[in-house]
Amino acid sequence: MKTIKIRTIIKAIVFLSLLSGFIYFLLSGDEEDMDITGPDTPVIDAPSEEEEEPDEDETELPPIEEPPQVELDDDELQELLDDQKERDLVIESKRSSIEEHDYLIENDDYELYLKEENLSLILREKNTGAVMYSTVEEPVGSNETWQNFMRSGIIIEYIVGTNIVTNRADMYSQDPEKTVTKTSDGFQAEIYYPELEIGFEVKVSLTDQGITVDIPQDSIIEENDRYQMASIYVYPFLGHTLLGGREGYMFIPDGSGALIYLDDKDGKFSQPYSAMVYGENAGIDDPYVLSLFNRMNPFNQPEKILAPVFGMVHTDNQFGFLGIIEEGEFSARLEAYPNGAILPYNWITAKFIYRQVYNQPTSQDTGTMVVRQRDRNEFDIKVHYHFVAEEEANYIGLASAYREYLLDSELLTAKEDKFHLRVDLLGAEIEQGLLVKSDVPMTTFSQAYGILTDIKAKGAENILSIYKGWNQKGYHGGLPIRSFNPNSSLSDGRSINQLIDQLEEEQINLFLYHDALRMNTEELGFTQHKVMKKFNKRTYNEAVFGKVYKEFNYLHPQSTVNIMEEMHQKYKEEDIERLVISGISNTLFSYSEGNQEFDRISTKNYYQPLIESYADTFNLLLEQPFAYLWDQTDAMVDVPTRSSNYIFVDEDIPFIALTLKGIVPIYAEYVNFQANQEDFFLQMVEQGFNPSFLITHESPANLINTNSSHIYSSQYERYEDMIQTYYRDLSDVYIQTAGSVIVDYQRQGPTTKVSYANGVDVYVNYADQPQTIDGFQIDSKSYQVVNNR
Amino acid sequence: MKMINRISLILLSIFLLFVSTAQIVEATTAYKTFTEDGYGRYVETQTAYTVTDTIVRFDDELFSQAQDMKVGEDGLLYIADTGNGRILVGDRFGNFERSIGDEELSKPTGIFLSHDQKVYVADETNAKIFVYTLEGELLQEFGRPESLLFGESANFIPLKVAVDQRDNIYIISRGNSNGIIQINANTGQFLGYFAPNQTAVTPLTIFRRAIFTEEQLSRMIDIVPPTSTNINIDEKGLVYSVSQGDRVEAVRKLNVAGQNIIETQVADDFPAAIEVGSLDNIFVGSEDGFIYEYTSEGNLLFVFGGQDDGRQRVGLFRRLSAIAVDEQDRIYALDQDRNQIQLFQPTEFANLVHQSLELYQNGDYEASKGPWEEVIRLNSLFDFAYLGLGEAYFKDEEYNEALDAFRQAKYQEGYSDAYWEVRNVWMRENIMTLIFVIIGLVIFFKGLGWLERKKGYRKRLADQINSRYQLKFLRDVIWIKNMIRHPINTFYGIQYENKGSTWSAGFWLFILYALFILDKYFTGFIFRYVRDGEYSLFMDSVLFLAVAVLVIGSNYLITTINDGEGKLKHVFIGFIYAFAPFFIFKPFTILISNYLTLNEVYLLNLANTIIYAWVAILIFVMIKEINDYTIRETFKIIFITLFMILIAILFIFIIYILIVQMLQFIVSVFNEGVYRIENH
Repeated sequence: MKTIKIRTIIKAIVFLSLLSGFIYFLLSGDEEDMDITGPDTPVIDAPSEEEEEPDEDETELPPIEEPPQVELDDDELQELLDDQKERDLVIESKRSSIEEHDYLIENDDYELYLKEENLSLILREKNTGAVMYSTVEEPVGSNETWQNFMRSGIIIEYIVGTNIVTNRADMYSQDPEKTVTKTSDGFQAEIYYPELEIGFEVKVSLTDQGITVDIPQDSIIEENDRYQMASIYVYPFLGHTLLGGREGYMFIPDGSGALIYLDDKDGKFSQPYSAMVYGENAGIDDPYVLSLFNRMNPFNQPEKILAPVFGMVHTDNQFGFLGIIEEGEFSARLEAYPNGAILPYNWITAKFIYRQVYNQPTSQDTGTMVVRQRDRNEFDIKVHYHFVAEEEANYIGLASAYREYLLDSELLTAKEDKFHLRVDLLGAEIEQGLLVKSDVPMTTFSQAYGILTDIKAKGAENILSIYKGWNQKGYHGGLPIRSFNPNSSLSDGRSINQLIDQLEEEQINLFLYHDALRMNTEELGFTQHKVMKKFNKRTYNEAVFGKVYKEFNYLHPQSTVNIMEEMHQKYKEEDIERLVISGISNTLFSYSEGNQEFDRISTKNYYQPLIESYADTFNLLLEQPFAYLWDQTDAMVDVPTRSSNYIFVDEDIPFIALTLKGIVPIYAEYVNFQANQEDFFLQMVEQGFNPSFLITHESPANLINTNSSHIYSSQYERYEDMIQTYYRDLSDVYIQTAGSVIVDYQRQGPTTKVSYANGVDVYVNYADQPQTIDGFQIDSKSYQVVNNR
Repeated sequence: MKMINRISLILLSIFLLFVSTAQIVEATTAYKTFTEDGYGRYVETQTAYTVTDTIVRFDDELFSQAQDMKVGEDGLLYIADTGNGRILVGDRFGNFERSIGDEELSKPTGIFLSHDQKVYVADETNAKIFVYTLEGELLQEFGRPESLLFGESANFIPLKVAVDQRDNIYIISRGNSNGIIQINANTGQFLGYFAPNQTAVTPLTIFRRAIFTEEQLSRMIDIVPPTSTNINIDEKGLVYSVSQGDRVEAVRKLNVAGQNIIETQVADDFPAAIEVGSLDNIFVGSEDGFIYEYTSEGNLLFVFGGQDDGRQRVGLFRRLSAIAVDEQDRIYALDQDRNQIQLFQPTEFANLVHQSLELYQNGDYEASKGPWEEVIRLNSLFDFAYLGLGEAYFKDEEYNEALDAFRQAKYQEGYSDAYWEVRNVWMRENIMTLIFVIIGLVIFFKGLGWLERKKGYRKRLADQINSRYQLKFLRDVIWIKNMIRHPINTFYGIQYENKGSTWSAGFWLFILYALFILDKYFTGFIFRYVRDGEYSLFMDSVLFLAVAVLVIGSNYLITTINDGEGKLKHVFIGFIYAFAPFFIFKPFTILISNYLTLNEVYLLNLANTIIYAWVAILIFVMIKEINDYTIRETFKIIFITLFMILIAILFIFIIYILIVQMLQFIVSVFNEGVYRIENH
């Protein structure tokens, strides 16, 4: 018995030594062409993130800006500029034709001229005679493709076969057949490209406010499989200017709103502003190739476009427009070209996307191919150009035009405008424990009661509070919230229902926070809920680089609806009346299911009725909502107060505040994380925002190992006094302006003057020195409210 | 009256014109700002600096591939316009002042403004240092030093230059790894090499040096230390240098002797420029666009910025080549690819941190408390503020508060000092009680012993239990106590008298595991090496088991083929029982480590050394006794066992790689198949 055992062992050892000898041989063989920098340890690990990214880089999609920069040296450009004849800025009286554009139609305010050859428009404001051109007559500094582009009213891009590069067809290239018919309020044009077998219909009508351009999807003809529509530009050069030749600015709805001046940029910028309306499309667009910084994302995301608007204002002849994308905004990309980015012109436009190309990975870590989207996105195009003239030809005019539009077309109804202090509470989070993940209670239900009643007792009467992370497994661990299951580590003798009821008695409104978009697959395990898959059939991962969870997934819109319908019932059963919905309020994506592709409109068609039904039943707040949901929310939460700081932006403007102040209460971002708190406070005074705080009972140091490790300042103890001061000061200002819209907004150096419709003026001084404005002396970093009633 | 009004209006508008460059509402920054916590981890914080301006040209003068920049005392910017072969001087509003050295310079890569208002320029192509007045008049030039000491084959291709108060020029030369070249500006004499970078000596390099031929050694790049990438000198004459490369001190602050006097917990891999700010703060710019601000002692205050990968947002860089800081703490950062300078302005938060730091560095601890607390209010995870606060409390002899603050800051030395004081106070107050307790305990145990001797309760109880229940397991477990006094007999007992069992050894193995975990996570803060809240229990368990299996298994396998007499069971029991001293004494050291300070660290070290040495000896004895070897044989067996462990690890590693490869291959094939099927 014993001998056999030993023999087996000897055999095993002989085998082992043979094997190791073999391995040694292999390795020593390698050493002959040894790398001189280090020992040749074979490093064939699972691909790490950093390694993965360069691969993606290699096969990156072609840049969106198709043609290369048009080369042109300064002298040549100067010559061309000298040749350029001045176009009239003001035409005093009605003419039968302007620059080959024939008179078409007029109403009380405007005359419309049309050049049938290229569908070019000229609009004349009758009062002042100011005109606006929609195409370039004699383009300078470019190649033929671009010249045709600039001279055309409508331009399409198409894809040829499996080729992924888009080509252009306009009013000159590809010889379109045009049939223009006059209608009662404008004209209608049928365009057909015989070679491409693509056709569509454009309808332009003159309205009281300006012009409206329609391209219905029914009119689109695609008869050749080889040629397919990729996108359409609608009057991209409307209101264009050449270099620094005119005065004024372009308005982009980036964050709070931003302006690009029409001055000569000296070729500083080679790229345009280009962003999808309602944020980038997670289902198609690949996110930036991240260069991580110690396994963290060192970058802040740019702000999303919340409203489908853009503008161009010429201050020299006091004429401008606000472009409102009424239909097709879900597939629209806003592009604003400062001069020097490809062309020496300033122009701003919406590009409507019918088909896109995307990366299809073919193996685990390397190798992708670029694939075309199969079906055309389904939408009608309707762009309304709302013109502003004379005193209104500025961004305040644009904002009030947009407000009027929202109110008139019932996209928004005025809400009760009352000052509230927003104190958000963070309940629980999750961290990696000794054996299993464990809860990190930050504010229990009793503590929440204590904090809110304490704030109230100290003088801050009106409180609105959003409770985040109230559910089982906390803020990030419990995604998605599928049942009414309050976190057990938070209920210390008080249940969440008791908390809500008791706060209700104190007239403090507590809203429960519900992220309806994200799911935590790591925690969820097996589930019947589907994840959102991108067009390339890969699950979309939202990388968050957290300490516990590295990434989240998005729920399939159908799953979101299923969960939310179930929750609707449960919230009602629990007598919950106040809710905040986040995630789906400001995210839209295309997705695929099996072999089918769905565009953003289908996602929206899931979300919108869902949110509407919630808005009917509950007091609903939406977190940073997109414009199409603005009517469903009782207040605007987390409205961006700034732009994303793009290099070509010259000035930030409070476009959203100018539009919505007095109509809907607006809550700013958290004060906690502001680096310049004094300035931020003044900004809230200036724009009439309600202040927001993120508060916890425990020290945020407890969060360091959780996914909320970015919260570094929130303890109530440290904010007790500050909250009261903010409340006192801001409510004093707010009371005087509540329910009133902003009618004028002026900046003079470091001071601002905001005038409200009810005659109240607010002066704010951001400088370190006292300033005098309109005879009022305003202290450094201070403000003054003047009532002129 | 009207006149006055008009004048004041004009004055006001002039004033407005002057301040209007200051942005009213700053935008969301493209980058996040981080600070380090006490463990050297990055923690997000409020934005410290925001970009207020971008300079792309001085009037009509553009710069190209500019590689260095300094700010003069006059507030003017001096830019080494490398691509155009000149020095450009302009102000921060983009106004052109003058250009210097258009004639001589061909590729100026480094520039320095000396204390006596001279401009030193390092020209790479001319291989010379040029010296100008601020107005641009050529004063001097220095070429390759003649001195023998310089080295015949040593390169002189000056990239960067700096000058100290004693007129010593420090030059970084491309490809000259001897160190920073030092030349006297007045005599032109070569003074020697200063503060070369050290090569890190790893076991691998020692091994290579031993076996490689001269030729092979000369081909190895990493035995040559990397040259510093940039250099700067502060008002006190301290030299600052940054270096790129593996295992090099990235940021160095050098004293006259060339010794590094700061230690940074975190640093970039590709630092490109270094600058000293108003509070002796050290600013380091990295090639990939990150800007670091350290205190004069090397604590990281802020890091921000980043690589521009097409985001087109302000504050990012394509390739940062130089940074400069002016009197108002504004940072100028030069991007050599985009040919622009971005101007960063400190925010309210950064100003607050600077203000606290200034008070703290001036020794005004009492006054610094308030600002530090305000910093903590704004950012509770700003550990450096806790450190400052802790120092302030400590100086005020408020040791308990200091202790808390240092604990927050994870600052072990400070914590140790504060704890020493706190313990001292406690000892003074409780010394009598403590003595009484000890005396009481001694009396109690003596009494117990006396009672036992007289009546023998315990023995009777033990006998009774023994006779009534067959408690072999318990007896086996307790058997380990003999290990302390009679190890050889104990091993004999294990092997031949059936003392100890697999189960009892299993029990002790579990205790060993528990102690291992306790030691790792519950040692006192001062001596702990794992961070708060960082648990890797699964990995710990796997590691522990793997080591146990590997060591015991290998040893057994080796002994069986070397005429060893031990069975697997005996080897297993023997190994575990050899840890007896560990079981008995380790709990005490874990416990006591919670009450010791760094002053008594030797006590703990001594105790640990004794425990480990004892265990080692017992293991040696175990192998010898169980297998009946001579001492010589035992040594041999131990070495062979170690070798076997090495081979086994290698083997497992290779298997692992093969499996991973195979899995990747299968997944790829599957995915491609799925894709092909779906698209046809």
